[in-house]
Amino acid sequence: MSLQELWLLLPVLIICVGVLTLMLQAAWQRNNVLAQGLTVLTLTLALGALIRQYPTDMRTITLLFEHEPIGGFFSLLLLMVAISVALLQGPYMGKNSKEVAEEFYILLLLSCLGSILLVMSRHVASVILSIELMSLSMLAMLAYNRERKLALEGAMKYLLLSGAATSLLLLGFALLYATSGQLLLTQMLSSPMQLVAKSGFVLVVAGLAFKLSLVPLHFWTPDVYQGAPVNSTLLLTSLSKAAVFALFIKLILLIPPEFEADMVRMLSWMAIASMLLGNWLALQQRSLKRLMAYSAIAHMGYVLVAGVIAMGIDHSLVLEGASYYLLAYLVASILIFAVLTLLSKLDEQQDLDDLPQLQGLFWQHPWLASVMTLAFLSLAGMPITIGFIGKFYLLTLAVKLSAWWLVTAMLVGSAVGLYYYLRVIFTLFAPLQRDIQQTSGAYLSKMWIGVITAGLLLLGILPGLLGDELRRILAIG
Amino acid sequence: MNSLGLFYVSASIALLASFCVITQKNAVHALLYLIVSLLALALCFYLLGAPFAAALQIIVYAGAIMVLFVFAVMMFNINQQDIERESQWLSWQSWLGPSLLVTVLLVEVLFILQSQPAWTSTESQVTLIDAKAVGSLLFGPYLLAVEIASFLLLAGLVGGYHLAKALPHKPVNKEVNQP
Repeated sequence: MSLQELWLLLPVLIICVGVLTLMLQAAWQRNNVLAQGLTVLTLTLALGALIRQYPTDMRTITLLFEHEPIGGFFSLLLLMVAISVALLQGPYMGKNSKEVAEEFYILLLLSCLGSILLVMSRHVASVILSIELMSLSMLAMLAYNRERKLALEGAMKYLLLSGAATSLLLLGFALLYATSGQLLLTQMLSSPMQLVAKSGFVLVVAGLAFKLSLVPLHFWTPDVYQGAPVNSTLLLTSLSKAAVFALFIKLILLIPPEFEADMVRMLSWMAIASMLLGNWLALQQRSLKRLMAYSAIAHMGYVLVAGVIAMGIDHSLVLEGASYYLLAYLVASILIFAVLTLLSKLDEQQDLDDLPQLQGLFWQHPWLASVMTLAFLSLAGMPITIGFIGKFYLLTLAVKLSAWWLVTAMLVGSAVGLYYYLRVIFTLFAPLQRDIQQTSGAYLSKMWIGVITAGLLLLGILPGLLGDELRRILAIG
Repeated sequence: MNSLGLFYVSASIALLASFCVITQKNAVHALLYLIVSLLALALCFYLLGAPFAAALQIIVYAGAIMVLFVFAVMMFNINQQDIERESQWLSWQSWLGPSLLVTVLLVEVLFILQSQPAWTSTESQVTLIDAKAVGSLLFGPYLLAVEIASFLLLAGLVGGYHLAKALPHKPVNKEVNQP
């Protein structure tokens, strides 16, 4: 490994140093504020390093990783998510939490490290190791408050099912390796595919679909979401989905042409089922976290549409659309979970989660309620929010490909989605029933939420601001 | 019998033993079969030309990890009743199946050791991958993978430590904790 390659790995190395520093700090003196500060500092430095040497073309880093624009863009999103979680964890734990803080931040950094390595991977070994690093560190965060029975139950479900998904992934890669004899992803998929290799690829897709919680591998999602502390749920719904999706789209673009028709059919059905079933099941939910879980299933269905289209027409426009949609989804999820985090406490048995509990939030905390309303409108795809532009991109692409089944499912799903998103918004504006406690202070976290909300509106009103840049950022076209 | 035949024998033992692992109702019996399955896999590795991987399989899985498993299963809630039940578990009937499979493996190993020069010279497709080759790969192109694996272990360690330590009863107060 040359010095040049090490230099390209700088953001990753900064996070590694951050992990070690936090461990030393925990050994020397436990302090919540110091740990949070170190984490945010590490992530900001990594973000700075990533922006400074943002990739313009593809360069390989040893056998295992590559430094390229799509990975770079997704790494930016991942760091944004990690910074949000780090900033929200402070107010969520409060000053006198029963649980220690350092482990959460160490695991957060490790999970972020895994996800960034995952989007940089070009080799089977690095894919498996980094996907495991990401999920394993997330596991302990899902059960961080060990007094919550539901959290332990959710984490146990996640452990078992995620282990099963990883073994599917491994088996799939093993079958692909058995036929091609190659371990690099590009070489592995470029050789002509026989039945064994095809079934291997389907298994790999199944393993990734589990992490993305696409129908029919979505069963774990609601329970894990509801059980976990709300800040860890935010990490699960954004970090792992974004990172796995980056790998997913990379793999899909590598499929040899003779296998494309079958994959388009399979992925189309998965996308349609996810959009319809996710939105349909979300209708019945009273718990906001379960609602977000089903809505995540539906939204991953929407993003999968981009993946399906990617195989049909030119890749550049699709990458742009998928990246935009994913950005919109991440921003809205961060905002919704951020508001819930500010209204809940880690030490309590339950987060503020039930819809009736949120009734009249606007009359007591108008700013938080407005942020939440905007985020839900963005998820529903209303104009002047970033979600509208994201959906617009995808619909245009789907129409261009004349994929009418996908278009129909998207429209029906969006209509159903609008209903339950509006139900939440109406609850927020209903007359106040009971007192809702908000975390006082935490100005830094609230400022960060404000910045993200401003981004949501700005990119919704002036989509060209990023739309033109995105082409350059992703170095396509 | 050539190496291919030997490979299929040990592979089918591995499959059979693995099947028994998941069908046994008793955890200790399942563990016995799991050990057999791992040993058979080690022999498969050896026959594929990877003696180092075979040795690691035996030392790490069949040795260290399985011993930990057996200890952990046996140490849960020990009392007199459990000890009696355990001696009941380990009656000679339950040893019969695993012993039989292991004996087949042993015969196979003895056969290989005795006739090794004969078939290694004829079967030229099998390339030998020894410890040095594995080491130079791990410290060459796969160096970063080793580093990530160490972070993966760190994540498991930190997570396991956090989940397994005693539940807190009162708020963690920094001033009190200081020496």
